[in-house]
Order: sequence, then structure tokens, then C-alpha cells
Amino acid sequence: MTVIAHAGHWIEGGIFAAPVIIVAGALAVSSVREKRRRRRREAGHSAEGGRRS
Amino acid sequence: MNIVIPFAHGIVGKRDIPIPDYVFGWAAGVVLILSFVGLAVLWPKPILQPEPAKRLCFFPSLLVDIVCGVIGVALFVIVVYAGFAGVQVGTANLEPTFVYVTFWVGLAFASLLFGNVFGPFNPWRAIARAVAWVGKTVSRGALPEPIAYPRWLGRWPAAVGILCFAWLELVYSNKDDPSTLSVLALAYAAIQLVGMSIYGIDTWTERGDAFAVYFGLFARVSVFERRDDEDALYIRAPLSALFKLDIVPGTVALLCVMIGSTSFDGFSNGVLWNDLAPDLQKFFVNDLGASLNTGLELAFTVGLLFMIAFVFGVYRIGVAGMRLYDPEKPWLVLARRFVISLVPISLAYVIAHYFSLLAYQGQAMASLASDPLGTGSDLFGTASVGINYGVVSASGIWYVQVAALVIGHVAGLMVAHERAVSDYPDSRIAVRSQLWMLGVMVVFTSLGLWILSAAGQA
Repeated sequence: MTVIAHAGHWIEGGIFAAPVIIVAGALAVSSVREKRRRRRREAGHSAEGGRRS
Repeated sequence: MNIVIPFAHGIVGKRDIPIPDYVFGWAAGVVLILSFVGLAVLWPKPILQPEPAKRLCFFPSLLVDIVCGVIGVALFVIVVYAGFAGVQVGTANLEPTFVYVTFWVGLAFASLLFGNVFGPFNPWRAIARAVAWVGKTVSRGALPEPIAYPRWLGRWPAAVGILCFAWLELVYSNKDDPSTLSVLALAYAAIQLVGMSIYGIDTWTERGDAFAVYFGLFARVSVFERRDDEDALYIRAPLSALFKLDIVPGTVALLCVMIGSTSFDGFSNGVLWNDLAPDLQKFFVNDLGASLNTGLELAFTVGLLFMIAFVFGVYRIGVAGMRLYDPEKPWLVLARRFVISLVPISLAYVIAHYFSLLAYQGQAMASLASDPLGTGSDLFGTASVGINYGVVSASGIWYVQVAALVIGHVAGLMVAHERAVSDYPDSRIAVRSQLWMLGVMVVFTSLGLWILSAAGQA
């Protein structure tokens, strides 16, 4: 109840969070890319290992 | 139900600035992002390690320690005496203003400007050194070796000490009572003397003495460094001494307590907290049977701990993100490696939150020095000097706050970047890993500006 009653203040303060949201978005994209990059690297290594064996 | 909000620290009036506060927050975010890009392009190799330093002049270390030590002990005795013998009114007695403004805030500013100022003035260290000297002279031999300081204890005593002081300053309803402060000051001094006698003066001062550790961290941002082995004063690159910090257990906790407690000081002056605190207080009073005063103290305790946990959580997420690029290293190792980047942020928070307190309330020391007991004396003819609130405007304070936060967070980025380029041979990995520290800095900058903006409107 308290949170809802004071929602105005939360929303008013939320405008300060715009840079945080933008950077958080950039970090999310960067993380997904890094995970993909690592998966590709690992897949490449295992394929290379398979050819050797 | 009457709600009593404790004395607010930051004295902020009506600002007259041409653009909304949040635009400063956005601009600060842009500055941080541009700084990040600039560091990535222009700072490919470590430049702060080894520490670039240049001898400035002769510095008589022993003489300075003796003179400053005597002054430090004398001030300690005067302040404690004033607390016991003076009038028991916070604003009329020397002790509360000296402890919360001159000592706690003033020394933080002085540490940034002049280096480790507290070290030579540290009264309990001076007493311990004097006792050790007398002991050696009388016994004509070496004193017993101190016990080895446990590695696991690290800076935990300092973290607990700063948390206790923050609780006293921000939560305890009787914090302005002079005699209570005197009792606590004596108790703290006794703990320090016991710690130094067990583990050695220098070891305990560097690890366990909360205030020595606190001001010592800020002094590492400064450009001045004394080198006792050479009796010389050196000038060094700012921030460079942070990389010589021995990162022991408790350092991350200490920095989170430092930033979290300062944040809560500002947050507790804001509209949001003033709306939430009464509901929390009601919970403790109505549901748990606490008295009104205890209920309020419990509510503030929850707020203080929440803010410290929030700061830790943000840093925890930042370090977890960095592990994407260095999964071999355990979280704690990375957290400790990069924790020095939080020191400039903590200092920026202190400057931003307490600048107004120092600028205004610091002037009260002129009258309190002449009348330390509040009994009407006029020792130096300054007892009637008042506080000039025109010394800096509310808008001026806001600009100082914004500048402190932006510069402090850019400095934090620089420290983290320096650490990354020295730790990761691949500069691309170093830069990518620091995207997460950029995120941490943007969160702390936005949080700081939001808190200060809200406090200004409360």
C-alpha cells in the first residue's frame, strides 16, 4: 500500500534513472553478444578437437 | 502519532538554477560515457603503476609526528572534557560540532587536499607511541613482539567501526548529547589502545582503527605523500597511491558501508524517505511494541542497512558482469581487485553530501572555540561570531555537488580502467569488461544526484 501511495515520488525520481536504463540496455546487448561469441569459440574448439581425433 | 525526524545534515535552501535537476543527471551520464570512450581510446597501457612521484622538499617526519601528536591529544582531551563539563546542549557545546563537522567531514576534505593529515594528529596512535617509547626507555630493551594480525580479520574492524559511527550519526536519537559523545570517544580510544597493544601500533592503525583507515583511504587520492624513510615530502599522480593498497578481507564491505551510509544520510533528508519512515516506524511501534523513539531508530536502522546492501548489490552485479570476460577468476578476487575504484566515489559522495554542512556549520567553530563549554566564556574574542549563510548560495552548493559527483565517478572509471589494462593483456577484453564498471558508475552518479535533488526539495 505504502509503495502505491507514494508512487508519485517514485515516478518523479525515476526520470533520473534514464541514463541507468540506457546503460543497462547496452550491457544486456553486450552480454548476449559476449555469450554468443564464447559459444562460437567453444563450438570451434570442439569441432577442431573432433577433426584432430 | 508524533514523528520526530533527527537533525538533517545537509542544509540546503531553495535553488535558482535555469534547468531541471534531472538534466544534470543526464548530462553526468553522458560525461561518464564519453569518459569511458576516451579511456578506451587514449589509455591502452597502465600509467599510474608504478606510482609516478617526485620529491618536493625536506619533511621532518619525527618532529611533525611529535608536535602534531601533542596537538591531537590536547584536542582530544579538550573535546572530551567539554562533553562532560559543558552545557548538555548540542549546538552550544563544542563537542558535537567538532566531532560531526570538523573531525568527520573536515578531515575528509583535508585528506584529499593534503594527504594523510589524520595520521600525525591521531591521538590514540600518539598516546600508544609515547607509551611504547617510555616502555622501551624504562625497560632499556625491546618490548614484547605484537601478535601477528590475522589475515582474515583484514579491515573488518574498520568496517564495523564506520558502520557504528554512521549509526550513531544518522540513526541514534541522542547523537548530539555531549556527555554521551565523550563516553563513546573514550570507549573508542580504549579499544584502539588495546588493539594497538595486541597487534602493534602501525598494523592496527592501518587495519583496525576505523577513522585512520577511513581518512587514509581518502588520502590515497591526494597528490601529497610523506616518506618517513627519506624524511621527504613527495608529489605524486592523484589516485596512484590506491594501487599500492593492500586489499585484505573487509575492504569491499568497508567501501560499501562508506558509500551506503553517506547515501542514506542524503536519502533520509528526501521526500520519499520522509513518506516511508513513518509507516516503518508504525510497524515497529504497533506490531512489535517498540516505543515511538525506538521505532523511529529501528526504521532508520533498516534504511541505513538497506542502503548499504543496495550499494553492495550494485557493485556485486558490476563484478558479476565483469566475470563474463574473466570467468576463471572467482567473484571475490575480482571484487577485491577493483574495489579501489570505489574510493573516489566514496570521497565524491562525502564532498557532495557534506559540503554545505562544512561551509555553514563549520563556521560555528569560531564561536565554539571561544566558548567550548557553552558557559558564556569568550577565550579568543570570537564567541559572538555567527554563521554567514551567504558564504555560498544554494545554487552554488548544487553546482559543487554535481561537479564532485561527476569528477569522482570519472576518477572511479579511471582507476577501474587502469586496473583492467594492467590485469588483462588483451586491451579489447579490458575495455569490454569495464562496460560493467561504467554501469556501476552511472548508477551511483544517478543515485547521488537523485538523492541530493530530492533532499533539496524536501
